[in-house]
Amino acid sequence: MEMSIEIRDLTKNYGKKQALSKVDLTISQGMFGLLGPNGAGKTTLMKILTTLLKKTEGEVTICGVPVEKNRQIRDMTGYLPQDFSMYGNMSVYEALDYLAVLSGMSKSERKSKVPEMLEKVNLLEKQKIKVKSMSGGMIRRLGIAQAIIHDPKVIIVDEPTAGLDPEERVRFRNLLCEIAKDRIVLLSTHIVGDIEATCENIAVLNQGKICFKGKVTELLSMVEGKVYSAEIAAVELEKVKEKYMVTGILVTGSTANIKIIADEQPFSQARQVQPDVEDAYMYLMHKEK
Amino acid sequence: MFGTLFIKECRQVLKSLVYYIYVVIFVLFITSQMSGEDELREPQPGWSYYGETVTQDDDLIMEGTLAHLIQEVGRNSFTTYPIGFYKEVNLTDGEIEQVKAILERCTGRSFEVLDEEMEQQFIQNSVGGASYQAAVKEGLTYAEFEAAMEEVCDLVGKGSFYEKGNYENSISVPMTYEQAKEEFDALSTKDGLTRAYMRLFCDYAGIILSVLPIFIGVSRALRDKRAKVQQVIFSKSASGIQIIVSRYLANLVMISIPVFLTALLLQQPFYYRAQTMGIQGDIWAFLTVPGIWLLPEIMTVLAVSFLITEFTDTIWTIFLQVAWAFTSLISATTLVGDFGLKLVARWNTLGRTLLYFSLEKELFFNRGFYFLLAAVCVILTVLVYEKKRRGGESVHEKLRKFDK
Repeated sequence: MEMSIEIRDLTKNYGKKQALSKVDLTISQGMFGLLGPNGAGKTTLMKILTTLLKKTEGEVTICGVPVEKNRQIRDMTGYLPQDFSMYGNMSVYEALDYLAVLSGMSKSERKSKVPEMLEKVNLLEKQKIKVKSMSGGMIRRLGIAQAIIHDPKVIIVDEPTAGLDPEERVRFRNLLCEIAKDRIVLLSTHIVGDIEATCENIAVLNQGKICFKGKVTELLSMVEGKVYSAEIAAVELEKVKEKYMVTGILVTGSTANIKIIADEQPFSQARQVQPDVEDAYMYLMHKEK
Repeated sequence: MFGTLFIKECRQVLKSLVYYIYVVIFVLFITSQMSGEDELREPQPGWSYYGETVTQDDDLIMEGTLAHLIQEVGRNSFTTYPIGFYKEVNLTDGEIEQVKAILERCTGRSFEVLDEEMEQQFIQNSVGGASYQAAVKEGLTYAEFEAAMEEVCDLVGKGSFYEKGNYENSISVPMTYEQAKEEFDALSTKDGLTRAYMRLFCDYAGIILSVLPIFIGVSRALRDKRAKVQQVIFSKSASGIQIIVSRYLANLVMISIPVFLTALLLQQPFYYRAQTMGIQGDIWAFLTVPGIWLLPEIMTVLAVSFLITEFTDTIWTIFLQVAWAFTSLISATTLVGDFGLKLVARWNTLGRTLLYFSLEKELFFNRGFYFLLAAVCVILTVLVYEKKRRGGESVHEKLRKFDK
């Protein structure tokens, strides 16, 4: 069976408001990043892929199965929603076991898989603590465990690192990369750093439309030779911000180190630097406006 | 999957504070109401009072029914149950005049005179429980009376006291020794004492169970939303039927367990008492009587709370269902029988076995109706759940968007 998600001319309307417009996307095995500002339509797309929303128009297939076939799609996908939580009075083990039952797993499967998954997400030692006592990072790890416990071909994670501290965020990103070895992992986020660290292929969604799809290197090439760094007087900062797209500012006393995107060298002391994904994303969003 | 989900749901109920509050309130209510309900003796000749029974005497039926009509005309408030549910009917001035004319035709006296007579009876019988009577016109036949009551029914509408089946089963008179003995024999042989006691238990339990399960249903139906687990559960492969029905049945079983246990514990002294009186008690009455009497009520109350809460994502159903229970209770014309389609089936007496067996079919129809209603509500809840699962919104969410 083909391991890909095919999205063709996907449109989703909420009444008169269009949340997705003619989205075309092919997502293959491995990590795929879906980047976009808040309200771009990322969650809507995720919900359509996980059968939680009906599309208005277009075609979506997951590993060859049309998204309308709810039961089959739910069997082959694992979903970690943006605000994942569980019943506070359940222990970690009970919560995962409960969700495994809902995924159709038998008692014997659960008996071996639940501890295995808890170990994978580093929660085995915490299996008896109540969900209400867990930290945000631990809940997110429980969330990924429930998404992969039934061994789905596709894992869809919506804003998984929002609100996590830097250490938890890195740990979580690494975990996603690990589980993406033989699956499709679709990571939706507005945090550019998550995509940069984990995904080779990405798409950028803005106002319901795909404004970029391709490899990260292709996105970077859009701003190649257009990113500059300069040290200016702090008082000039406002003037520079009005004229150029500033993607980084570090103020030290009366001077400010800034990062600018410009088609040509903005001023003599500015020196060209290597762009990162955030620069490219900002450039793309600016162009979209 | 279903069995495992059911057991896990039962465990969830056991961890819920609302459930323990339910158990405590139920047990306290029942034990406080049922204490002292043990005055049961075989009637002996020479007693001054043997209790009341529904009369079959045409004259007494006519006198009692007309007295009832005088009171309702005086208030211009007629209690009816057009489709089994309470409805107050107020007549126009013209219609009231027509009813007064019917009264005059049946009694030979004007309404003003009859009203004065009724007031005198009230003053004389200041002790509660007195049955009022209005003497009929000399020569009035029962057929003429029936025709007159049909005219009243045409004016008042369906389901009033003046329907033949109602007034002929409602006029009570003091029992004779023979009647009391016949009643006691029926209680001993047909009811085995324990079944009669369980009917009284069901009367009290039915009152509180028309309300308490609402809170358990609402609590379960809103738990997913409160815990923010809706999305993740929606995305799982378990069907809406498996999820909703396992939750419903688990809550139903957990609500029923204290009911049957309390019934068993309260029945046991009566069972042993029956044995000492030489009566073969029914040991299973604690299961069979509440099973027929209370289970359909619990099923309906729980199913409606599931449905409305799932549909609205709010606690509105609490207000709605409490009002329903209250209406059912206040609308009963008698505390013994008058089942109609009332949610709470009343039987506030220990005994009256012969009357019970004459009304048993009506009770079965009532309970069957609520059993089916519960099943329909559960099916609708599954449909609402599946709709929400595919991006449908609850009424509450729609209203919030409209408000914005």
